[in-house]
Amino acid sequence: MSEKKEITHDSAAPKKDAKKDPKAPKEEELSEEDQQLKERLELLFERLSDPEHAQRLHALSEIKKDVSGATSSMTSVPKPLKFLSKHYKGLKDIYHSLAASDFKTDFADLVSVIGMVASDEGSNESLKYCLEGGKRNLVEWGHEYLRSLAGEIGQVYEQRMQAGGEADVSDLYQLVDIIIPILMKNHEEPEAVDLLMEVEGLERIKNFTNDTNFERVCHYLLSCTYYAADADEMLNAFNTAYQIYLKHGKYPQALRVAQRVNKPDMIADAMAQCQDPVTKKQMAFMLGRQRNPFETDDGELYKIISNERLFEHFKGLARDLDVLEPKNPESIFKSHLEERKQMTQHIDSAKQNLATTYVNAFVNAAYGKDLLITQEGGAKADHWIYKNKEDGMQAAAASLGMILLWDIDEGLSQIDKYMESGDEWIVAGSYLAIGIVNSGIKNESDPVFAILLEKLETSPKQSHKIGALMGLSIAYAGSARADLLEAITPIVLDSTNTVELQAVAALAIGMIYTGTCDEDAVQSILQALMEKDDKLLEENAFTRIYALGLGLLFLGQQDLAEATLSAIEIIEAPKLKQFLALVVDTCAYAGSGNVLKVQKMLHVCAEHKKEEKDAIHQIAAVLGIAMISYGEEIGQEMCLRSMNHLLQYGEPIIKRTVPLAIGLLRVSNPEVQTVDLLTKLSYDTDVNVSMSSIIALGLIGAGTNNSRLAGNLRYLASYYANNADQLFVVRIAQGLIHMGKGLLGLNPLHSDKFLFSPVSLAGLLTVIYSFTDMKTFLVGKYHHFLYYLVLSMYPRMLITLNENLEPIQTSVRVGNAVDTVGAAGKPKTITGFQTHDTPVLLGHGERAELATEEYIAETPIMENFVILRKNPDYEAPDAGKDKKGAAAKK
Amino acid sequence: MIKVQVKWNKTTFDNLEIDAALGVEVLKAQLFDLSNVPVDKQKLMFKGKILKDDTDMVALGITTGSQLLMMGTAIGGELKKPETVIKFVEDMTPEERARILHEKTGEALPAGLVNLGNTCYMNATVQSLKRVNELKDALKNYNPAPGQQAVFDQGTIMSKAGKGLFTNLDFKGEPFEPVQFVQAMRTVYPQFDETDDHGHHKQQDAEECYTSLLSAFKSALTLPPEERAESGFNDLIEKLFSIELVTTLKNKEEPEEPVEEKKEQVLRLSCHIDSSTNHVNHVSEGIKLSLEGDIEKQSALLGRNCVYFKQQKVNKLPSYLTVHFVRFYWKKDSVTSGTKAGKAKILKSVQFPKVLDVYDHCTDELKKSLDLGREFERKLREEEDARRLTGKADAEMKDEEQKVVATKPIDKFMQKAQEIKRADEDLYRPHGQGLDAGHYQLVAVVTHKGRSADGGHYVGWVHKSGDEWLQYDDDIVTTVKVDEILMLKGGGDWHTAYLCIYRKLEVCKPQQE
Repeated sequence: MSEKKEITHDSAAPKKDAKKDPKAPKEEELSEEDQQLKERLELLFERLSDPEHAQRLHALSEIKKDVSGATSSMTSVPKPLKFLSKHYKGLKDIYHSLAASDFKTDFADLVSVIGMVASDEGSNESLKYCLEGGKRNLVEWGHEYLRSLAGEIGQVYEQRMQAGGEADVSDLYQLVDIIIPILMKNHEEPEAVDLLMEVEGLERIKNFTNDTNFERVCHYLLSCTYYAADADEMLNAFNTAYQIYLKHGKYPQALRVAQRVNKPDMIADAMAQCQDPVTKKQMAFMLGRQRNPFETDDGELYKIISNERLFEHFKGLARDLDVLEPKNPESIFKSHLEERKQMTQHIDSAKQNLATTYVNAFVNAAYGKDLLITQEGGAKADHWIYKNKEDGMQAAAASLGMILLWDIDEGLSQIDKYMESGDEWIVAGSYLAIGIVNSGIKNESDPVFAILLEKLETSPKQSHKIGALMGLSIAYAGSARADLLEAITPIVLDSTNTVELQAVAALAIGMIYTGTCDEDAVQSILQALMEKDDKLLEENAFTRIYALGLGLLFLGQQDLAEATLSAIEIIEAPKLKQFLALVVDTCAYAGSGNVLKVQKMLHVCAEHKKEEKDAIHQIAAVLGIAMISYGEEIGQEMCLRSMNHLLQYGEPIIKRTVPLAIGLLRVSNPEVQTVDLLTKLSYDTDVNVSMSSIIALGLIGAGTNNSRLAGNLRYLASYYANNADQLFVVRIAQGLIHMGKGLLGLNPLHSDKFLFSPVSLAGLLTVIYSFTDMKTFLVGKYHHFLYYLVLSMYPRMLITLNENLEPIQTSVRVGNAVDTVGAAGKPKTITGFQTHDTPVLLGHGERAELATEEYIAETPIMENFVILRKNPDYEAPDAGKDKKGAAAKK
Repeated sequence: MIKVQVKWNKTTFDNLEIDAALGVEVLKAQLFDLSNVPVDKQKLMFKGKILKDDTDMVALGITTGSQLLMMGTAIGGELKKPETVIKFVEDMTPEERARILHEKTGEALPAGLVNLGNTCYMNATVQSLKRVNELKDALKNYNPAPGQQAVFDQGTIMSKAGKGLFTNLDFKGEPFEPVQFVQAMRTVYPQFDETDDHGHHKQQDAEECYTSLLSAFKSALTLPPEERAESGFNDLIEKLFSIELVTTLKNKEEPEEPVEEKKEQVLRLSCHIDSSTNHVNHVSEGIKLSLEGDIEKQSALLGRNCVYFKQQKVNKLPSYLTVHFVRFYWKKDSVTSGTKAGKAKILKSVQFPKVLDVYDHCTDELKKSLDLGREFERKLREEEDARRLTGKADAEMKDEEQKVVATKPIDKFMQKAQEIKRADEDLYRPHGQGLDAGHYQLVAVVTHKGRSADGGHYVGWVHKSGDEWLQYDDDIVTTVKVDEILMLKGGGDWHTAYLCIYRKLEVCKPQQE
C-alpha cells in the first residue's frame, strides 16, 4: 500500500492531510529512529495474533501507548498510525476472529483509531468499531480522533434517519454525551454545537454550559440560525439560546432572542423570570424600541415601554450635540450653490412649497421647533399652511405632527386648532398629525384612539377618513388592538367605498396587526380582495397597497402564511392572484435570507412579458428579493449583484423597481458604490427610473448628512430645474438625507442588526411600495404616504443612564463592528475605534463598547438606551496608579 | 362629589370637584372658566373614550383621582385664514405667470419664437432688438396718429406688427408663433417672401432683416416736434442708432487737389474681414479696415480716374452701436479648385470684447470731448480704488469685532447680487445723464452657424443681467454665461457672431448711498 493511497483513505480527518508531509515520496528512506519504530510496531502486530493471551494483552497495550502518545500532532498523520494503517485489514481480521471479551472491546478501540486514517471513505468504520469498543477515555486518542468521530456520527445519524422507520440512535447519543463535555471543556463550543445540530439534540447543550462558555455557545448558535435548513431547526436554535441565557440569568439577552422569534409568551416569560428591577428597566427599553405590546402593572416599566420620555431624551441628545436650533429648508437646498437659478422662484409654487413642507418636517422632526409651521415660528405660522394647496395643506398640517414627534402634550395642544379649522384638507392633515405625534408612544388617556375613532365613524368625507385611518395606523402600528380591527374591518369590507379608502383601511389593519397572522385580520382583508379583478390591479396603484396590507400581517412569519397562500389560490383573477401571492410570500419571508425563495423571485423576474400591465407582479418580486435578503450581510451582497443583472436584462418595469429595492437593502447606509450606481441611474432617460433612483438616494442616505450625497443631489436639482416632478423628488431626497439634522435614521434593524422591528419595516415597505407608482403617490395627490416613514425613524443614538434613569456621561469606544463568531479567545469586537463621551451617534455598521471599567452595562448591546451600574470592583485610575507606583517602589 | 384631575396641554387642574350626577356639561363649564376654551371646542377624554354631554361618568369608571385629558384651543388661538388667497404658479397660464413675474421683479420671462420655416434669421434679429429697451418701449406704446391710420405705409404696418410681437414676447411666457409679424414683414419687404422650388421660404440674411426692420420703424417712430428741435433727430431710430461719419477723400496722385470732406449718416459700422494683406483678428481692426482704404474715383481736377485715400471718422456716437461682421461675400468661380461662383462665408475668428473702445475711430473734435469723459472716468476709478482700500481696512477692523456676521455665506451672496444689480443699472440707465467716454458694452449678438450664406442657422444671444445671458434658439431659451458669448468669435463650425449690438456706457457720478 503506497503512502498516497493511505492518505486518500483517510476520510474521517481530511484536515490533516491538507498539510501532508512534503517529504512523502522519499518515505522509503526512513530515519533510523523511524525504522526502529516501524519494526517494533510490526513485531507487536505479529504478537497480536499470538496464541498466548498475555502476549496479546501486552502487545495491545504497547501499541496503544505508542499511538496515543503520538496523536498530539495536528499537521500530519502520526507515524505509529501510518505504519499500522498498512495492517488495518489484518487488524480487522484479528478483531473479528476474537470472541467477545474485555480484550475484544479494548481491541475495538484500537481498530477504531486506526480506522480513522485507514478505512474507506464513507464506510464510517471508525465509528462502528468505536461503538463496539469500551468508549472509555476517548480523549486519550487525541482531539483529532474526537472530531473525526463527531463527523462520522453526523453522517451515520443521517443515514439511519433516511433509512426510515423508528431508527434507534440511542447508541449514538450515548457517544455524543461522552464527546460533548470534552469539546466544551476544550473551548471547542462551535464543534459541540455543530455535532448536536447534526444529531438533532441541541437541547442537550444546555446541560454543559457554564459561566465561561455559555456566551460563546449562544453567539455561535444565534449566528447559525441564518443557515438553518428549515423553520423548525431555526426555532430550535433560538429556543436553545434562549434557555441557556435564562439558565445563566442573562435576561436581557434572553429577551432579545425572544424578540427575534417574536413570541409573546417567551417575552413574558423572560420578563417574569427577571427579578432585578434595574435589569427589568433595561428590558423595558428593549421592548419599547421593538414596540412589543407588553402589558405590565408596574407604572415605571409601563412608562419606559410606552416611550413616554423618548422626546425628552432625544432633545437632550440634540442639546449635547448642539443642534437644537431649527433649520430652514433653504439651508438644506442651498439653491444659491446650484448652478442655474430658476426663473420662477419669485412666484409661489405649490409643488415647491410642498417640497419645502416635507423637507422642513423631516429635517426638524422631533425637535419641537421649526421656522415654518410651529407656534414658535411666530406670526408666519398660520401663513405657511395657506401657502399650500389642497393636498399640500394636508401635508403641511400633518408636518406639525412630525416636528412635535413623540411629544404628546405639546403635540395635542398645537394640533388642536388645526382640527378645528373649517378647511377640509387641514382637518384631514391634523388627523394624520395626531397619529404621527403618537407614533410608538402609549398614553393612558389614549387620546388618539378616542379622537380618531370618533372622526372615522362620524366624518362623511373620504379625505377625513383616510387621514384618520393613516393616523390610527401610524399611532397603533404593531399594537394588535382588537377594538381597532373591529372598527376598521367594516370599511375594508364595504365595497361601496372607493378603492383608495378600502386600501388605506386594509393597510391600517396590516400595520396594526403586523406580523401577527391574526385570523380575523386576514379574513377581513382577504374577503374584500376576493371581489377585485385584474383591471383594478392594472389601473389603480392602490391595489398594491391593498395587497401589502395583507402581506404585512405575515411579516417575517415564514411558513405561517401557507394557509393564506392556498386561500389566495381561489381568487379568480389570475394577475391579481399572482401579485397577491408574491406579496404575501415575500413579506412572510422578509429578513429570513431564504435562498430558495430568492431564486423563486429571480425566476419571476426572468419572465419577459410583452405588455407592461402583464408584468405588475414583477414589482413584488423585485422588492421581494430585497425583502428576503434584508438583514443578512452575505445575502445582501449577493442580492445587490443580482440587482445589477436585473438592471441590465430586465424589462422597464423591473428597471424602475430595482433602485427602490437597492434603497431598501442599503437604507441609511450610503455605501460608495451604491451611491455611484444610483446617481448614475438618476440621470436615466426613463422618468420613472430616474425618480425612483433619486428617492432611493434619499433612502440610503437617510439621516446621515452625507456630504457626497448632498452634493450629488444639488447637481440633480440644477439638472432637473425645469422638470417640476423630478425636482420635487430631489427636494424630498435632500430632506431625507438631513433627516432629524442627522440624528435620526431609518433603522428597521437594530440591536446589533440582530432584531428587525416589524413595525419599522412595515412603514418602510409601505413607502417603498408607494414609490412604485410615483404618479399616484409621491408626485401625485397621495404624497402624504411619505409620512409612513415615521414608523421607521428612530434616533441612531447611544444614551447611557444610571439606575434612576438619569442620563450619565461616560466614555465609550465607537468603531466598526467585527464579526467574531467562532473566533478563538476573546477577540476585539470593534476596529478603528474612537473614544467619545456619551451620548453618541452610531453610524451604520458601528458598534460601541464601554471604554471604562467604572460601570457595568446591563446589556452587552450598546445601543439606544443602556443602563449602567457602578462597578463595585472599580478603582479610580488615579488610585490605581498610586498603588502601582507604590508597588514599583517596593 | 368626586375629585378628578384634568390635564390640558402642559397644565394640570388638580382636585376638580365634580358631581357625577350633574353630567359632563357642568364639568365643561368649570373648565371653561379655568382654561378659556369654549365649551363646544372642549374634547374631554378618559381611557380612550370621549366624554359627550350625555356620557355617564360613573359608568365609565371615573372616580376620585382619575385623570382626564382635555384638548382644546383657548379663545383667540384659532387658526386664521389669510385674507388673500395665494395663487400658485401651477394654476397660472403662462401669460399670467409672465405678468406677475414682471410686476414683482421687473424682468420678463423670456419667451422663444417658433420657427415658421427658415425664419430663424428674423427670430434672432427680433430677440436681439428687444434688448434695445428704448425701441421696445416705443414700439409697445406705439399708437399711430388718428390721421395716419388710413395710410398703410411700410412703417405703420411694421410698427403695428412690432407692437404686438414685443408685447407678446414680454407677457406670453412660453414660445409662440410670430405669424402676424412675419406676414407683415413679407408684405412690406417682398424679398423675404422668396421661396425655393418646393415652395418653402428661403433662409435670409439677418443683417438685411435688421436693416429693413430699422428702416421700417424709422418712418413710423418719429419724435415729437419739440424733441426733434432739441436733439436734432427726426426719429427714434436716428436718435438711437445713427452714427455720423466724416469722410475725407485725399487724392493720392495729385497732392494739390484739395481734400474733399463730407458728412454722412449710417446706422451701423462694418467689420471687414476679408483681406489678404491685413489680418483681422480683432473687431477694432476690422472696423478700421472698413473705414479707411484706397478707392478709385474720377478726379474733377485731373479729369481722369485717380486713386484716392478714403478715411472715415466717427463724428457723433450713437446710443447703440451695431457692428456688422462682413462674413458673406460673392466668391468667383475658381478653375483651379473647381468651385462654382456663389455666396461664401468667412469662418475666420475675429475677437470682440465685452467692452468696446471706439476712441481710435473718432474725429479729433469728438476725441476732445471724449477726453473729458475719460479723464473723469479715470478720476472716478482712482477714487473707487482708494475707497476700496480703506474700506477693506475698515472691514478687517470690523471683522475682528464681529467675525460671525461677515463670514456668513448668505451675506456674501446678497452682496454679489447687489453688485450685479448696480452694474445692470449702470448699463441700462437712460442716456444723456453723463459724459461719453467712447466705451460700449455688448448687449446682444446675432450668430450664424453653418458654411453657406443661404443656409445655416441664426441664433440670438441677449444679455440678461450680470454675467448671465440668454440664448434664443428659436423657441428654446436657455441661460448661458458671458464666457460662452465671447466664444462666439468664429474660427470653426460653432455659432459665429454676425451682428453685435453694443450699448453706450456713460460716465456718471456714482449715486450717493
